[in-house]
Amino acid sequence: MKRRASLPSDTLIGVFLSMTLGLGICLLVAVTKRFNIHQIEAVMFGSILTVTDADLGLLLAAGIVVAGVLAWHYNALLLDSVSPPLARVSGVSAAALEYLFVVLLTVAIVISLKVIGALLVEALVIVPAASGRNLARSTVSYLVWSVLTALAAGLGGLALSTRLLVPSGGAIVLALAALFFATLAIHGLRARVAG
Amino acid sequence: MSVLYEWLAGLAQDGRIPASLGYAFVVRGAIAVLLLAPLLGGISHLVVARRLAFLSTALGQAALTGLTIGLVLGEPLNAPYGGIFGFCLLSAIGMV
Repeated sequence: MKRRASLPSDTLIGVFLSMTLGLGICLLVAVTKRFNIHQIEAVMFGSILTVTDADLGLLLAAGIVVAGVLAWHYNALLLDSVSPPLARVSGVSAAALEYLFVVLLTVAIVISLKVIGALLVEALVIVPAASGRNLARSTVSYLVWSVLTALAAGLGGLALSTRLLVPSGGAIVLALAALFFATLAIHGLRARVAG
Repeated sequence: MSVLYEWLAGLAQDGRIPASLGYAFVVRGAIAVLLLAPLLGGISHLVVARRLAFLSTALGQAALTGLTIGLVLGEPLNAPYGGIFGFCLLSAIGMV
């Protein structure tokens, strides 16, 4: 719809966001007649208690597919995000790439819902890159730092959640935020030393 | 998988690894995090470079609606992937 409407994309996404949330909350009333609200809370905020062996299998299979397709189209995706005109000249279809990437992103978000939770999963696709950007000096180190931040926050948050008995999603996001502010401080210190 | 859980439980009893890893659900959570953190971390820098941060927020919220739709349609609470994936995909394609 972004391609059809003349609105800024964040306005359009805002419309969608409120619409889906409104629908979800209306349906939630129907669902709570049959399920305990705490069971639904586990999906909203993430709980490792609900992860089964079958989920791990699905996570592994879907993860390999997503990572494979991403690696295959990585250069085109990066070129298209850095310089769309250059990508167009090199024969890449911007619309097809955008759809492909959004589908991959959807798969990645859906398979990680059980651990992180529906309301917090976006943190894990935004904050690692934000922290990586604070530390990185090249594209490769940007990628490496993002992955390292996500791993450290994931394992740290999990340890925190089993020790303090809080939902795993909340603990992981708190760990991510702590890492983000630490990298921000490092970035500031570096700039002060350099300048 | 149960062989792995029993082996780790034995190690945890001997005190060689943290005691919480003796529980199968903690091990499953750790494996899940080990699998998805590199994936989401790797995707994240493309998300930020392509300016899709707000879109991924909206996708996460759409998952809640997808969950309720799946449950209303009679999916099991333990594996509500159909409703979530279907609705997220619809709203994602609607947004771009």
